[in-house]
Amino acid sequence: MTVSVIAITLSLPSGLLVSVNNIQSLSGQIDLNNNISVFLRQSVTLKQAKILSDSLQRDPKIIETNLIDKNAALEEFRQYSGFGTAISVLASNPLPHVIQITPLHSIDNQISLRLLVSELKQRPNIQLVQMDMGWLDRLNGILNVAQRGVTIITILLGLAVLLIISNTIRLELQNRHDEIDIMRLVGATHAFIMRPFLYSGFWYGFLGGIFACILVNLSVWLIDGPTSSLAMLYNNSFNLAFMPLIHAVLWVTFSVFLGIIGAWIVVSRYLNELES
Amino acid sequence: MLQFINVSKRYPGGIDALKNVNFELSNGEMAFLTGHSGAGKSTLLKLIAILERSTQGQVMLDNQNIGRISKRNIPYARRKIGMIFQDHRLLHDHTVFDNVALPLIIAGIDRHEIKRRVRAALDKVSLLGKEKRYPITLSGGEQQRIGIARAVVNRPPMILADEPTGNLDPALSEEIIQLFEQFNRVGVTVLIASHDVPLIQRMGYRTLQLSNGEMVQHSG
Ligand SMILES: Nc1ncnc2c1ncn2[C@@H]1O[C@H](COP(=O)(O)OP(=O)(O)OP(=O)(O)O)[C@@H](O)[C@H]1O
Ligand SMILES: [Mg+2]
Repeated sequence: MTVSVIAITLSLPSGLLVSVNNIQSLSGQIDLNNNISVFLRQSVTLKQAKILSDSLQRDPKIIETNLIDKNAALEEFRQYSGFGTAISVLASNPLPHVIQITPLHSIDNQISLRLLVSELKQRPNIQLVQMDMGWLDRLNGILNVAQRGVTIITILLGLAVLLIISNTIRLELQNRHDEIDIMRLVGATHAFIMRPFLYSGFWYGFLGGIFACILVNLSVWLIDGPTSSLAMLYNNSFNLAFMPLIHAVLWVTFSVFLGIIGAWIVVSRYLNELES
Repeated sequence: MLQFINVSKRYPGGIDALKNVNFELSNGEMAFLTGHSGAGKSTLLKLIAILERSTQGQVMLDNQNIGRISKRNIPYARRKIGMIFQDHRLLHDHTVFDNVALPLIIAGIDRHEIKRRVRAALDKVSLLGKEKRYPITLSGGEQQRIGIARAVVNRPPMILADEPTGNLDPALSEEIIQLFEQFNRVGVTVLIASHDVPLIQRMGYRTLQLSNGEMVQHSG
């Protein structure tokens, strides 16, 4: 009973940490294709667009440009979207020409990237510059907050585990009240009386920690199937990572530590009250 | 030597269980402690075993004020006293052997020596051959003798017994007291709290009498 409560309590922060790590590694994969989309004004002709694209190509901060012709884009859209008839109703092409830019600097170099974007915005024929990883920034921000959240939740739920263990040990103490009295009577030291309770604390912590790790990895395993088939839809092979072994060891150690400390606090307080 | 000097004990709640008690017990002496119910007999014994602390005065054991002993040293002080209770205070989920061995296990004595001493103690109380039994399967008199074996197994210089014959018939009571006499003969100081006046008178030992927490008589 105690063990399962501890396991569930600890699986919360450890599961959260595994989730954060997984989202982080997913966003790490996305980092690789950080493009800038440049939307040109409606009035810009294809010829002007080509000239602009070529001039951008010569910019040393840019590796590659790719011009997407608005007519070709509409045609493609007509073919693949299934909105063919709806689109033929339109009097004019609502799409602008778009130049896709692969910048030299990746997202790691935020400053030069932003410089490039503001330079592009200055040019007359450009309506909108969109960095595809703007949302990625936000995601990373959220992940940072989530990581801090994991720390706070770990502390809070660690306290909860401490309380659960203390309570269980307190019950054990009450059940063995007579036995403890007898042991005190024949000259048992506090350390001697405490030892079996510290062992129980250890086992509660140890088993609780182990089961928490099993619970989290079981969840990862259950979610992994749907996740990778979802990733396949996006031409992306992505597998959820299990809890790293070192983390599992740390969680169990943490849990054992809580178990022993919880037992120690309760028993030593109990014994000190008995001995006036 | 045991010495009470102006000892008073007031329990939380204001009950004065002992009032200005003075007496001495020499090493190797055997004495009875009597008095009506609530006179303070158990309280007096508890002060010697440091199960309670006096609120005034000094309890001296071998010239040491045991009322002043630090918490850390209480267990070691208790090992010098063998204590016996009317309700035996046995571990009922442990065998006779384990019950008697407990003080030796606590003192960290090695297994062979424990076995030897437990058998010797059980032999003295005529329970040899019942080591593997559980206390509940034995009679009241036998259970009391387990308690006595446990109290003497680590050869303490003093034995305190609180109503050791309380539930026993006169013949069994006398047997138990005779056991205490045997230990006393080899030099153990014995103090027995009892209100079995006929028994005490028959034995003819020194008697300490308490009444409402006061020592009213302390001569043989
Ligand atoms: N832990 C306690 N807290 C408060 N009062 C107590 C406590 N123990 C004993 N007393 C009171 O102290 C007084 C002496 O009690 P004690 O147990 O020493 O008497 P006694 O002589 O052993 O009696 P009996 O023959 O019934 O065992 C009684 O009035 C009792 O109610
Ligand atoms: Mg009493």
